[in-house]
Amino acid sequence: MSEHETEMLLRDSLERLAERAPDGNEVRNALVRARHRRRQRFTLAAVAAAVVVVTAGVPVVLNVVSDVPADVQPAAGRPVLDYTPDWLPDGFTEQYRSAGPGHAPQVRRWLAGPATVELAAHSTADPEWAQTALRISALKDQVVVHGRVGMVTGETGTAATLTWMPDDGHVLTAEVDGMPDARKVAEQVADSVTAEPARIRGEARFGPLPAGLRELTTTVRGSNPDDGGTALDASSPAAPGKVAVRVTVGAGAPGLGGSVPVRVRGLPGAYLAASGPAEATVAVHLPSGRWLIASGRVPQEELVAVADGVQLDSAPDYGWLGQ
Amino acid sequence: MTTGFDDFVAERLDGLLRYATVLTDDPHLAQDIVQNVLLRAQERWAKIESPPTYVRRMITNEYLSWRRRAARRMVPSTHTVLDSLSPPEADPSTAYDERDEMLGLLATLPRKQRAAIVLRYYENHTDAEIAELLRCGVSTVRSQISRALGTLRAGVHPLPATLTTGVRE
Repeated sequence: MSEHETEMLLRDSLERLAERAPDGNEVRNALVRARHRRRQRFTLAAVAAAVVVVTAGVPVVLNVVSDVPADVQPAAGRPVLDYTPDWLPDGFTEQYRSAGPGHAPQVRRWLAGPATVELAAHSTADPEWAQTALRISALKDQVVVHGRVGMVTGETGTAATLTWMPDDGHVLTAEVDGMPDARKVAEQVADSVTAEPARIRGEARFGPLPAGLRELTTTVRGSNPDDGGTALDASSPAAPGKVAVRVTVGAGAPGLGGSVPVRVRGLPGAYLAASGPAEATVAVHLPSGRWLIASGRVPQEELVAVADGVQLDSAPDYGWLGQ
Repeated sequence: MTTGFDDFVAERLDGLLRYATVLTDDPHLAQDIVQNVLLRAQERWAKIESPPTYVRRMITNEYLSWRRRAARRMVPSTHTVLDSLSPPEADPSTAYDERDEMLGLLATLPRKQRAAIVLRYYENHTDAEIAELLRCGVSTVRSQISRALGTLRAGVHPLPATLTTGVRE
């Protein structure tokens, strides 16, 4: 069969397959139901707000309005982490969540002093993890997690990584480091993992990115809600999995020796050119008192454009940090 | 905001379901994916700059990472099912059997290759547009399509032109 004939047959076959598409009634109904639920929530919230206003008076309303910075917009794309362990060793608190669109790994980390427990989820559509089933079957050191065969690697007594596939589309790793009986702990953590989602709502998200840059991940980290911060990573087409630009928003002030003034988000900011291993950096002190820092090996205008486009969220969810 | 979203759904839902069905080879999974994507899009509609592109990209991403796909994948259409969907054409037995065979081969492709094929031959996108949607390089797209076509060409066995009964020799 010629190339042309193959392509014609392919088009015909796909068109025929498209005819099997369901009608949209169920989807339309689901959208309507979701809208009704949202309206109900909004009504309840409005009633609650009205009660507060009646109780506390008009000055409360004015304070609330004046506390909201002009550039605050609610974050929309909030990554979701699909898995949660029901068991962790005593003393561990969650201090790190990271995820992103597409095949970005979903990572959650719990710490207790120098010891770490990390749960990560990867997609088998990611070439790096596509062959995991084969790797597991080829390894001698196998364990069973929820009835599925997994493997233990990197075992040193105080460190171990357990890898298993809860289904054909995902690979999970439970990595324990810096504590005795690491393998046993990793197995116990893995056995307790359920498909209960956890969200990431940081204090910033990317706005429109300059041509060529793509959102990679959003990360929230901190040892407690008061020292939480958000990091946004973007990649360039030249190296799709690598970080080309990173934006952080948090309390930490950058070192700006040798910088030059630059306007960022309509505010006086600073630009520090790349030097040796140090990447170029743009920083601005936000009206909220937080610092927004964009860094990467890209031109100054691009860094400023990224920083200008970042959307801030006045109500990040840092409540889980340190829990 | 809501009106814009309603208009979008009214105009494009059928097309989105057809696209998702071709992508997933599973009408039920297609419906799940389109529904989830639109529910999310509805929440943030005012912020979406180009809804048609955004929603199709989300559908594609969902397909590429959908964990239940393997368990729910359907057997490609049978001759009978296809016959019931549309009246026979000039030489129906040959055409349908070859389409069956092609759909069967498509079901064996890795997800990214299948997505690239669907975007090229069903959505008629350019390599650059496909690269943008799949978040990879143009050379990767070309290589995915080339490998997929190789697999499909190697697997398809044209039927004799005289065969009219639908029964393979």
